[in-house]
Amino acid sequence: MKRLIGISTLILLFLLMQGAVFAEPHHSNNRRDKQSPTVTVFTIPGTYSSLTVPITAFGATDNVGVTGYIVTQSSRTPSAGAEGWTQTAPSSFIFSSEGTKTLYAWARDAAGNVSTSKSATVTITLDSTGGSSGTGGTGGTTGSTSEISGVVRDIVTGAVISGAVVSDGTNSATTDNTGAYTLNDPAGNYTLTTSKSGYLTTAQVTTVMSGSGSTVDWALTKSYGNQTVPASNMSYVILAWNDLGMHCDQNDYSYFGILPPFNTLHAQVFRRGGEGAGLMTSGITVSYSFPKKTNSALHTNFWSYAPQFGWDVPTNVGITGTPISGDMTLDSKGLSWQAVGIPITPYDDDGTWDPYGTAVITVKDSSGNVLQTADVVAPVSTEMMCSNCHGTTNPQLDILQRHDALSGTNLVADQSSGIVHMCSECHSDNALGMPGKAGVESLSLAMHNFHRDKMNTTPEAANTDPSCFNCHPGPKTQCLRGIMARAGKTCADCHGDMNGITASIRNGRQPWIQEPQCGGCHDASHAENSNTLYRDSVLTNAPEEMGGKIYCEACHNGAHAEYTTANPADTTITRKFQGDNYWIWNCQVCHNSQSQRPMHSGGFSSSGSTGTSGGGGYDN
Amino acid sequence: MKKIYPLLVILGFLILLPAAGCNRGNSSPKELLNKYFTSAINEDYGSTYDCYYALYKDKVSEDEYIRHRREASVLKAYKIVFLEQKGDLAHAEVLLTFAPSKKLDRKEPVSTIVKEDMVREGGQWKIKVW
Repeated sequence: MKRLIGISTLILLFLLMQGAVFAEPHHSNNRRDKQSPTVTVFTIPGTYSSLTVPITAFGATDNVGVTGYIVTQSSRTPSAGAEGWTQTAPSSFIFSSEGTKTLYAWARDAAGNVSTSKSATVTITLDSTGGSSGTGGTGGTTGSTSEISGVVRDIVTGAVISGAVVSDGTNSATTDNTGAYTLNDPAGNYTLTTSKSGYLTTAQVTTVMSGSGSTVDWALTKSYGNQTVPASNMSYVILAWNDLGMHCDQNDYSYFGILPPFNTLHAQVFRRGGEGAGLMTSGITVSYSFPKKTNSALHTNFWSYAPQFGWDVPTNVGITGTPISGDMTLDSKGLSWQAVGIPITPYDDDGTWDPYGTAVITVKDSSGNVLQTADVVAPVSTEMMCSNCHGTTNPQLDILQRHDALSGTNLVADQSSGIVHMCSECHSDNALGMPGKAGVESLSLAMHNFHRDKMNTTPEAANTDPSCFNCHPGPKTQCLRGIMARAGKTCADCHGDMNGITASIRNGRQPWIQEPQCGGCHDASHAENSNTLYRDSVLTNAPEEMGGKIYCEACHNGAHAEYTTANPADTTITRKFQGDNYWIWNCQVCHNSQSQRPMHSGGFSSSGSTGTSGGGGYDN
Repeated sequence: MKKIYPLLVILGFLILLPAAGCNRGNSSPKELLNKYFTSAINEDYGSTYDCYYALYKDKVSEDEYIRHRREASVLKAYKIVFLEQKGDLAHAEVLLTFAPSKKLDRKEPVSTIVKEDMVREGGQWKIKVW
């Protein structure tokens, strides 16, 4: 017996030395493998007439073995744990719109090494059977036609507008006394415009499918006013904005962490002048402060748990080191002053629930003289209505209990013993740059996929409209409140419903990095920069020297709160400098003695001050 | 009848008093601040809500306000340290002391000076948020 024990001990020691016990074989190999795979070939057609583009060749090699393939539209290297990796090379890629697109092919191995990419470009032009394609298509002479129909309304009152002219560039229709119109066009892609005296001419992109009708409704905005621009008496202008229409925050971090307090403000500063008006990126200091939000720790326990979440930051300092007030710094493009991750909450210091807290932006010269100030809203809300389904007693505990029951975790026990987790510890979250754990769904996928069939679970959830407001803020906060919402667009019109969101992530879309594109509905002159989110895009088709300098959001505000929004708290900037709550449209906000010109190429010249009629004045 | 009359007056007073909130009697910024913070100290957040101006009430309902206000810290004391009125606008700085909080792991009261803006609306002073 002693001999047997001795032999067993020797064998065990040998195996331990070889790393073969208590570690999976591939794991031990992983530690030694630091060599990334190589994508050897990746080809797609140069041109194609469908949104589903075949991948004609995709091959990769690795010193140990290739275990995953992925194709992305982003040149950013995907993490090994990202959604969308497949065990075999994909044979096609589905795009959301036509145009010239670049795909990036990647491979990974079992150790989590990710290759560099090979890229290929395709130009997609959708086939318009029986007619010409492209914007402003003229219709065809062969094949059947389909109806484009809809109703034109006033964006503020909702009243129908009769006598509005809807045109596809060749054919036009006039709305009747119910605001309705009908156009008949062959299949194809069209940029429609709608004009009406007293309203701004508006454009929308639509696709007509053979044999099926298309509904395109309109909400027209009244023509610009003729007020004196307040900025005409000023020397400096500040265009400031929060990068998103709303940031989510939690009332209580003692059970789990979804998102930390994190608002991001931008400010572009302009010296007014004639042709010489200019963007100011040096010689000034730009600071921000929240007069009514000076101490977030008065009402949130985030900093009690931040170290557990991996952010050992002082009280009232955000996870990126940004304080609750301070100086802004130039962004990576050198265009905008920014403060990333300001840790404000929806609570003013006195306890007022204020999701639309206002920051004061102050610009000083090098001598400390104040050149200009402006108020800008930094929206943040805790109105995530978990209680609609998880009960009002302790919805957070209910969530942990259900997570444990479904996924075999020990979150309740951990919480009881003082261990609190961020969701992104396991579920990757691009919003925070957290890679998560391999094999675990991203937070976006997990949340939308799991909850997509549960929006009618309780009367409270079923009665919440849109259902997105069961989790995203919210019925009162109104994250979605910009001009598109006022025009009747819903969350799903841009993002798809929960099934669509789930499917898109499973098909390789990277949440937060690949988001809906303005160019998908608006004409090309109002589209984002190529492969760039709206919030990172700049005006590139401007008159003369303005191109490449002004962020889209500087004039149009953050996504979901685009000017002109339904909330007056959003429009402090435009009211101060332009004298209305429209987007920045008046050249004289920055320029003295400047005649009005179209801000985006492709637009018509606008009479601006007197309103437009019959084809004049895009909503630039 | 003479015996009942004083009782009716007292009864009427008791009925009207709680309903008054900030809708009555806030004829000066100081009076408004007193009602605003006293009601918060009493956790009578319905009366605190009454003190806000119309724009805020348009965006935030009373129920919603009360629900969220309960999530914030409980006020224990206040002291007006600065008050200035210019026409229909007023500004104050107030020293607030919040109670200890188990949720916030705060074992001692904490004090801070807050800024309050006020606006005269329909003849009554109201708390201005934006």
